[in-house]
Amino acid sequence: MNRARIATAMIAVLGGAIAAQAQFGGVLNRAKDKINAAQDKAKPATDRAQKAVDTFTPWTAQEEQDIGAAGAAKMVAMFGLVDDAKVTRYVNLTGQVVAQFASRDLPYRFGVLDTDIVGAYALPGGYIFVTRGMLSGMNSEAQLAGALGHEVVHCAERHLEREIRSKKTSAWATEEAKNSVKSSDLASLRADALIGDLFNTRLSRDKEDAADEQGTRMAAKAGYSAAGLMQLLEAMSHAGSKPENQRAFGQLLSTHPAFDDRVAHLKPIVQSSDAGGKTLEARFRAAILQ
Amino acid sequence: MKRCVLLSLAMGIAGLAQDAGQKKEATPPPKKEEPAPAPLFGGQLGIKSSQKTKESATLGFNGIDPSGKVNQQMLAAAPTNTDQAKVKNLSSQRPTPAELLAFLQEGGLKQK
Repeated sequence: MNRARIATAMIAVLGGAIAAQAQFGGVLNRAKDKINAAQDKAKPATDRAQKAVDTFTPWTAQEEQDIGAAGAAKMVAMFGLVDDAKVTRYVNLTGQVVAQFASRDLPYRFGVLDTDIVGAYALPGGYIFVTRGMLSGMNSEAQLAGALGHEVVHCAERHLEREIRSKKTSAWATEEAKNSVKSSDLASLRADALIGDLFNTRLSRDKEDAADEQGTRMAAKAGYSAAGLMQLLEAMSHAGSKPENQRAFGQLLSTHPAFDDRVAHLKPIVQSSDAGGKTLEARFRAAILQ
Repeated sequence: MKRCVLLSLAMGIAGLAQDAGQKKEATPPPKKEEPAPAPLFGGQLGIKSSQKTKESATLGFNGIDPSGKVNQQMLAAAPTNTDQAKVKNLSSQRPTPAELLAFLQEGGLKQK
């Protein structure tokens, strides 16, 4: 009987304590919230801008197109385009073959930059460039398809946009958040910063691997040899290791993983793919040879 | 007499020169062999630069420093109206569905 009374008393005390804590805790939490809200209000504008940068909000379709077009114009201003309708048409056709299998539908457009440096670039909105130096090193359509497939994946998955925001490397995001720039100047400001980032920012390894892997799979789905991109990377590894080619490969190597690592990543994917895909060397030579 | 010797000498030389010229014409120019798949980055396959300025060994590396990095001057390039028009023109280079289909069929490739 005594034991039962004691137990009842203990339960009552314990229950009271919990209720008191809950009530008091609630008061504390509300107070904390008020303090946080007050602190938020007091934070300077730049801090709020930084918060906006930290949160990934994709550009609208129109913003993506505007920024991509402004960035593409800057690339053309820097290097010029190869003025050869046959080559441009062929690169566009090959790119469209692969882009059929992209994860996102965009108006993909392809151009050839008139420079000897070896590289390919993906800008927002589906603007894709390959350099004359890169094309000159290829020897089949399957290789071109693999390289363009890699860039299509970067566009479709918004890799550059995501990378810039996650690393806070670009000036435009902060400016955008500060809302201190006229909207008419915004696309050009963003393009300047975007191209700066394109040439100086190393995309994360997982994004490059994803682009290699999905680009290879897209090319294979279209009926190309799955080995195209891997063979191109092997050749680039060989050529890029020569000191005399430093100027041609330096930029690409500074922003991408080592060619050999990329080859190693692709090898099992290529080996597990269907053999017998097309390489189309003759068609490539006919279109590119001058 | 002297004139006769000189005349016949001149005629002989002229005849020899004509003969040599005919032989040269008769020799067919050596056939250019069909280029085999070029070694990658070996410079055999190539697209000519569209730049109008004087050709030089470094022309294609304008704005690129020896390490391969794009220099600041190049990065500061501002697009002109012509550059913007060229970008707009890229959209017109996109093949029509019929052109794409023909390209796929010609290469034995697959349509989605």
